Amino acid sequence: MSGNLIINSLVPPTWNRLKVNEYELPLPGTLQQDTAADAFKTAGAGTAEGSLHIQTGCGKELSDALKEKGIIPKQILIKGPELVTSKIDYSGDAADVICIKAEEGQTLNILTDITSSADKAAGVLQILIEAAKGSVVNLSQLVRAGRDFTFVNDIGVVLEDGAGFNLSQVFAEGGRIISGYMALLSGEGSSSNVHAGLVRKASQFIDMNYVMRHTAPSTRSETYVSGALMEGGSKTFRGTIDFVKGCAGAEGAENENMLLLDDTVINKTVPLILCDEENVAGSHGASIGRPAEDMLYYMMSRGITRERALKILEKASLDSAVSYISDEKAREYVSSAIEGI
Amino acid sequence: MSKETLTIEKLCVRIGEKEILKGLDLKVCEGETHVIMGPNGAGKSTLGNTLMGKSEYEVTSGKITFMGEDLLAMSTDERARKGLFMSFQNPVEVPGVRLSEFVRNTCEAMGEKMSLWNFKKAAGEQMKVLGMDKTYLDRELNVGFSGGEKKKAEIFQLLMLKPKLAILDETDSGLDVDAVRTVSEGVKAYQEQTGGSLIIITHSTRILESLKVDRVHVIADGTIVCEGDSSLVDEINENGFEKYIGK
Amino acid sequence: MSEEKTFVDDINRSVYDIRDEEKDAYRLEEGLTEEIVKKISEEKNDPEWMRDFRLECLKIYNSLEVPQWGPGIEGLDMDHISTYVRPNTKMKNTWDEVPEDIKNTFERLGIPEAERASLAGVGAQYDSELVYHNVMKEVEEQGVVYTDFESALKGEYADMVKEHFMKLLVPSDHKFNALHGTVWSGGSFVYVPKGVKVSIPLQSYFRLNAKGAGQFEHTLIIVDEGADLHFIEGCSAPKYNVANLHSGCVELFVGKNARLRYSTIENWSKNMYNLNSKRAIVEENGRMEWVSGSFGSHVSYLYPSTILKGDNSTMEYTGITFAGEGQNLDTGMKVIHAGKNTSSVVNTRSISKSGGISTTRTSVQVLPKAKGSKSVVSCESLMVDNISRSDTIPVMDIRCDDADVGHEASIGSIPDDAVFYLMSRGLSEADARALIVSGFADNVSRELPMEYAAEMNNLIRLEMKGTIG
Repeated sequence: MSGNLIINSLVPPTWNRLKVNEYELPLPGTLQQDTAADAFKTAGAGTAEGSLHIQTGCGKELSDALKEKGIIPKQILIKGPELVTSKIDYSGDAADVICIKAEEGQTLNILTDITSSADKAAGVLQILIEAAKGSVVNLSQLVRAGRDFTFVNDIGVVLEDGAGFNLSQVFAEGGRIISGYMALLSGEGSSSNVHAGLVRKASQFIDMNYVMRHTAPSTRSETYVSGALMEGGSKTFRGTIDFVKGCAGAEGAENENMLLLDDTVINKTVPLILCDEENVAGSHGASIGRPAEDMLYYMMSRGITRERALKILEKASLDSAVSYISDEKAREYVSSAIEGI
Repeated sequence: MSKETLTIEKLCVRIGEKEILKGLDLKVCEGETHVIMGPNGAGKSTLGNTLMGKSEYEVTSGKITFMGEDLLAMSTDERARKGLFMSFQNPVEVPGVRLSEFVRNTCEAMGEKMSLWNFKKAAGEQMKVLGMDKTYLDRELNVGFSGGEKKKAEIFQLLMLKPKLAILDETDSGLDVDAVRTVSEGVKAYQEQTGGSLIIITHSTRILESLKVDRVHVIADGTIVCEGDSSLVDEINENGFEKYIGK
Repeated sequence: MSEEKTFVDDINRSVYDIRDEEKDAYRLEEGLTEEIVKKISEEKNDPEWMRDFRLECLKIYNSLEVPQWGPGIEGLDMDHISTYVRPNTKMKNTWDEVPEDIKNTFERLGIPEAERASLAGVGAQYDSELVYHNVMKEVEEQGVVYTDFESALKGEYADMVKEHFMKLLVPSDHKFNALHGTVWSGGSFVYVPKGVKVSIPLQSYFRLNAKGAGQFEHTLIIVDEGADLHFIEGCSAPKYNVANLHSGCVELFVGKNARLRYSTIENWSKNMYNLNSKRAIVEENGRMEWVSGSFGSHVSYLYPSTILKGDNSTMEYTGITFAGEGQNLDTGMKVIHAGKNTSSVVNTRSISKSGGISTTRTSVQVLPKAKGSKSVVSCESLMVDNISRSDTIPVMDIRCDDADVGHEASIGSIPDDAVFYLMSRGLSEADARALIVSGFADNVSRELPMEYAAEMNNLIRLEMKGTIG
């Protein structure tokens, strides 16, 4: 057996031959650390030692491996709602575990901008967030690393009563992206909102595993994925709404909109709804295929060529995630960063 | 006589096996406003979509000349760039594309490169005509728009694109009195600002009240069965279409 | 209004539960060895190729693991399952000749009556062998072949059977296909010749009476070019306190321009492990329609699958699963779009009650060459109380840009306002809830012949009765 990690596991699994039950990650032998922690420091945040024990979307094997490789968790101290923009540039194989605590009633706005100056390298960024009663954490992520770069983006959030976590992700560039997300909605009335936009072309791929676990009453989760695939691009999205006993009154919604622009693409969608409680509402909707002819006709009737219309729709897959970034500065930052795409 | 903008000769159109337009003739000159009326299923919307070049509408015979060129030889976007515009009866929702971004793209397609600042200024002026809030620009194109909002957004695009000929396909249907008045103001502004021609497809008359109408055509069963000046509007208003159907 | 008279018809679950004594039946010893397989083959007078096939399947069976992804089947011990139990009778073609006790069982299940009223042909299997088989003369004269599988292996269509047998459901697919290939017995063979349209349905009914036994019937249906058939499958068993196993295989070949509708009402007893495989392949312009109601069994693995091979071929799947106390029902469907302009429409509903677990598992694959294909999947689940469980596990694997794939899933409980509305019209709460749940199953009852729809609704009301204590 190789030393590959089994991450992004589907729980419960389904038919093996569909190859969606997990992702096998070859992790580099040595990993430099503090790339991300330093970027937060540069952005003006304080850092301290300290760890959080929070489950993530990628799962236990990754967390254990990071520990084994001696990656020391760093706590990031952010005082107020002022946007913290962390520009993380990878110049080699690196890994970080970042812990963030939002105190009661606090609002945090965080932006991570991932680039790579080294190709053929891998970066692992694990972000663990504890959101205390009534706090709101807005995390925006922009990934525009190199075509040969592997980026593992792994998030775990625990939400107390009335806390909210809003995640906007824009996966514009980067060769291989493995993205995990786990929200533990353990506080009454807490909520998770995810908007992910992605474009995959030239054999790029993304493997996503998002779990919204509702354990407390009246919790809410909304998860939206929009994307465009072309030129050998591929995507696997696992989205699990997990209604655990005791979450009466919980609501979970998942929606996916994928544009397939040629027949070299692979799009896999695995939207689970697990339900162990009676009084809940869960829903999932997916729409996958080429753009509707009516839509193209409408755009062309205003003078836009077919090619241009497709381009606009491709970028719209990213924009729909951008438009949900609540902090204006963060929104402008991401918006102008992807302008040329 | 003024210059001909659009000439339709003996146009026959079908969708699948069904023949809808059966030898229709129509001529629209520069700056003229034509009204097309007729009962449901007469072929009014087919005419609009055929002019715009929707793929299901198959032209089996006939000729359409627009600005001196063969319209049928052009793709939909070429027609638009030549100066043809249609306000859709049910504009589609395009998620993720903001109204501002879309209209900027269309203006660019028309050859009008504008800086973001100039674009916002021009857009703001036209939106004022329609009583639209500037926040519309940041909304996703037609997504979640009410019927009235969609129609206003269409007329906003009409004002931004300044076409030579605009087809308004049932732009007034489903709108309340105030919204019809606003849309009507917008259409008037288009006439004044550009001197462009109009084909207004409607089966009510409210939108016409404040506009100067040059010619009225009644379509029934795929052809024009009656033509007249604006007084025909009042006549139809009173007596309906019965006398034109089944002849 | 009294509960008995309103929505719960006066039917009795006990008709399914009456067990006949196993007198004079021939029963092979429990377990699975080469010796037992050879004995089955001998008993059944297999052609040589079939005997070799069984032994080959046994090897495959021993080399494969049980699936790791579904409900647990630890309660199933293959060493204690009798794979072959032959009733003490030869197959008859009039009910009068069928032994009294067996005949009575089928009478209680309403099979002879249904045959007289609305079927073109009936096959009735009791444990491992068919005890009754009959086809309407008019249908036979059209050239339709409907026979027990053993006769088919030796008769005029032997080559056709050999050519198709376990070619769609290959033994190496999974452990239970291999098991089936090893010990299969009974079932039906149907051939509908080119252009023949069978206007009334054929039915097979499978009854497993023997305690601790397995039933492994094989159904092979070939609907030739331009032909049309509706086939109905029913199953039931009395309840025992040891595990019974059903592992049938259904292989369906739908020719060019042909149509096949396959309807199932499955009502196995709640000690049954129902590990069933069904697969259809559809040629150009052909159409496959599945109607499936799953009510019984302790554990089910059931995912009828369809390969839309021919251009313009279509598939429609309509299913309902009702998981009550002690049941873990893992059901769903699979479809592969391979041909151009193929289309699939899937509508599943599931109900979980009294601690029952229902899992809806689906997969939709669209291959790169399946240009112009469309798929619409809708899964709805209903949680009747808070001690049950309902999971939805769909996979979509789309590799073609010119495809239009839509998926919708929702989960919820019985809406209070609907219960209130019905109660305001004089219904008791229990009746109101029963009515809403059977309304939820309407997708399937609309697709079934009237008598079957009525039986299904009775089953649902029976299951719902007594929920409000």
